[in-house]
Amino acid sequence: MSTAEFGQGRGLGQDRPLADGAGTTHRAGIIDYLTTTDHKQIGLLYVFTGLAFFIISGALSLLMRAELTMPGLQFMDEATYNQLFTMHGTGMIFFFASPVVFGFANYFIPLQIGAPDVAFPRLNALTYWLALAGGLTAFSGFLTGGAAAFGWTGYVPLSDATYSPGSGANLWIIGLALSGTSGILGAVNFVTTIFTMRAPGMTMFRMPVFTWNMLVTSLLIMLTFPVLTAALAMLFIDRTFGAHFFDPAAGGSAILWQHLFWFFGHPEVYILILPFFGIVTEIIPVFSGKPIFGYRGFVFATMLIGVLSYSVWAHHMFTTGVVSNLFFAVTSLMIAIPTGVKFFNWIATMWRGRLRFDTPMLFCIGFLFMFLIGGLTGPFLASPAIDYAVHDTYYVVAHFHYVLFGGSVFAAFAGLYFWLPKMTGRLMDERLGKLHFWLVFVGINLTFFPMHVLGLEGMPRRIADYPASQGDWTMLNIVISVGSAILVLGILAFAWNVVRCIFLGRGRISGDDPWGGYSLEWATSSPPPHHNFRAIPPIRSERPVFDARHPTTPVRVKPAAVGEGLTDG
Amino acid sequence: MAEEVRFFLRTALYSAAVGLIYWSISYEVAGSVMLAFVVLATGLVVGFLTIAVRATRGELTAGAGGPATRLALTMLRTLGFVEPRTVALEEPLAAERDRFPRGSPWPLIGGAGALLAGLGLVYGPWLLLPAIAVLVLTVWGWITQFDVSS
Amino acid sequence: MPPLRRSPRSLAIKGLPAVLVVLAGCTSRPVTVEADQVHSLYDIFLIAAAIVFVVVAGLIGWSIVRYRSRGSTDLPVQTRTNLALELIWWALPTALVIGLFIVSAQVLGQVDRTADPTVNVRVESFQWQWRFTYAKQNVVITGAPGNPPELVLPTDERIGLELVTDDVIHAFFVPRFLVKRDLVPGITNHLDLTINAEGTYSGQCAEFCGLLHDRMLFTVRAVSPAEFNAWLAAQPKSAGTQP
Repeated sequence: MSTAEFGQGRGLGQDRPLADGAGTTHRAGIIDYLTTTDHKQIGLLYVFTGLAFFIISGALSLLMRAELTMPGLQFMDEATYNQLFTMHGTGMIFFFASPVVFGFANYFIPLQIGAPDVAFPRLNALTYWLALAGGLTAFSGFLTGGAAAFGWTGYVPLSDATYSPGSGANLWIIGLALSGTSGILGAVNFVTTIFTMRAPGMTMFRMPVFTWNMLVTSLLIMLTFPVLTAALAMLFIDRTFGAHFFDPAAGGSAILWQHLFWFFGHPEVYILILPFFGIVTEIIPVFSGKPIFGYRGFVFATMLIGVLSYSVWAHHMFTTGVVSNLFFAVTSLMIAIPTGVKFFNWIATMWRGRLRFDTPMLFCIGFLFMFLIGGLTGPFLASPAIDYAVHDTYYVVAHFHYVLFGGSVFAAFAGLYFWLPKMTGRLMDERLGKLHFWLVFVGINLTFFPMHVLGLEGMPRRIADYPASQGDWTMLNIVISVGSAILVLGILAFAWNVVRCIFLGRGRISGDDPWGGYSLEWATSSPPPHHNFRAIPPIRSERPVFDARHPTTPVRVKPAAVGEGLTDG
Repeated sequence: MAEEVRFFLRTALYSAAVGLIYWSISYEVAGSVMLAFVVLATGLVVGFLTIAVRATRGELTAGAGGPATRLALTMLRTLGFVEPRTVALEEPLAAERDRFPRGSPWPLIGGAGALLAGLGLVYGPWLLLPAIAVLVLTVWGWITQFDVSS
Repeated sequence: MPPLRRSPRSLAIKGLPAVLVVLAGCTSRPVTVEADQVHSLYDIFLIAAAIVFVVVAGLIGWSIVRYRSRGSTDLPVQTRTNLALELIWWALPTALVIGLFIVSAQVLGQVDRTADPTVNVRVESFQWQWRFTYAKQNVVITGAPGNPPELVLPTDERIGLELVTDDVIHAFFVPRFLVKRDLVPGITNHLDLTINAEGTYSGQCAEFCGLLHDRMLFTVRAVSPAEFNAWLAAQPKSAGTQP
């Protein structure tokens, strides 16, 4: 079917030899990508689609920042502003972060477990097309008289037909439903792949941490995305067919939407961070020259975060007065524990290591500082009495941007610098990478730290304008806008790095293993051949490539804990 | 017990405990029902994995079947839902054989159909009905595509 | 490969006291009895967060300075785990979290208490303004676009606010009170408080409610009880308490 040169299917022995380090110089055409079922090509599609939505959604936020710099409405009216923040949030969460996660997962889960592809390759391709369809649909609201304008959280009654008439809202619902379906199918694919297609010798507890984190993420997706799609269906039926699920006047409940949405919504943010914890946990050990410290504890912490994440949802509803604030305070404070423990694992990995500060590691260190700050403001929000003061203010905006931008996006950048060489055969430029890092590091702090102060001073979120009498707010907003300009410069440096090194092909050839990697993706060419491996090294730990390169280093330095061994489940 | 099964079992047990605590503290219906469904969903997977694992340990005999079965199989073979007799069943992941589809138009067509169906829900049956036809076509094409090379 | 020139650790440590002062001070003095407690609770959390930050950021900063590779290609000791260390670092955050929960529960009990208010005001929100009704005295204050209403309240008395709405979800938020409560169609919420400082405080809707959400402002003017009663007596009486 495919005209791709290396897709002729004559068997692995016919593929290009591994040793030349240049991987394949074949360039797949458009038809190849339209009909591909190869997890690697699908992974690339996901990553670059996600980055495109990052640029689009980021541009929306820059328009918002332009308006908010000074009090008064200078550039737009409230109607426009409300669409901007709605689609900024929706675009970043559903159409940037999720696709990037799925891109990395698609590309690297099969490689890391030594499989030739995922369990359901055509389903895999379908998930990409559904994700793209979802993004285009949701954003098409801008072309049809107004995109959705009720916040990415879509609270009723504001989002029902009475208060948000018009097709923009319906397109938002459909877009999210398509994207949600994509996610669910993808998660099923990943779990099946991980359970059934691991290479011989790779027990569950020899999987790389990124794969473990994707397993837990996939579980969360399967459990909570259906709740979102159900809620979206109910909203759509209310809007279009005159039902009253969410209409209090007719016996429905406005709060019901919030329960459904946040039962999905809170696990969603863990879906958006766990894979990136995994990426960081791939990179830090490699650039420290040591294994991850406390592999089992780390995996256990990930699983605990996973199950706790759907026990905390109503901490977003503390101010509604109708949920058990104490119950959710307990669970929300508890989730801080396994998250905090991970920090100690990472630090202990670096401790007494030999640290190299190539760009992937630089972004991981930035991640550690930024996620620390974002993570520390979480418990404040978990305490209902404090939440009463800062809920729906810029304090929350600061918190989630630190964990999402400083956390997920920094880790995504780290992953890109680390793995794009494997995916494309080209290294990115180190100096541009460092420039990128320092610009966004400064930019992110200048942009989002003052938002804590704004929130504590009472500036609510989702407002197009604020009174000039709030002098402090003006000053802080100016600082924030300057910060966001610096962020833009950093992103431009990154974009140029990608264009120059990868699309224009001027990056240095990466070879099989430019970093001294640990897991199986580094045991094959860059990019890998059609079915990934010609040969797989023996798998005796979570670092098969490291073990193969260091045959005299014992696989375990510390005595194995009780129960560990070759018979691991 | 395999770690895979334990993974889901832990989740089911945890969710049952949390669900019970949550219900007894709050008597809130929506959250309790959702937690109960988490137990159900993960329990379902545990049950299936346990049974499936058990089944593959024993003998799975392919029954010859009576005339009705053979007729049904012939019909399904004609329609394309069952592999033709001439295709040898091979071991999965055997390195010499390329059993993975080398490409397929159906995901793209299916994605387009889903997009059109979604838009059809917004804009009306004139779009929705053709989209459903595309989706039905996709399902048929998908199931009947066999790409095994020799 | 050039080594890192700046030490993020020293930057973080040097910047920290300034940051703490800013974060602690910028809520400005709370003006209700409940807000005083919330402010103290916040300070406790802030101190705990600061300590954790100094420790963890310090460890990260130390690692990246002390354990730089400096060109060596020897493998460091490949330590995989240390059970005692892992148990400690599970136990410490757990203890901290338990402590934070206990203080949170105590303050929450105080803040959420609704009991025997002496002054009752019904707060109605609608797109995109407010209406305050003093039912007993038959006084209604309604805001208009561009003309935010003023909610006059006495200090040192227990005030009971009844929060209702008929259209979409709004939220009653007074930053100086360090509290907000949602107004949800189909639900009647109650918020009790005792103001302990006279003054004028700004308020604003804090749940996105549509087009002019950003203009849904109000003010609270807290006056002595005597002044409050005088003000109330001087207000025009509305035709009925049902607007």
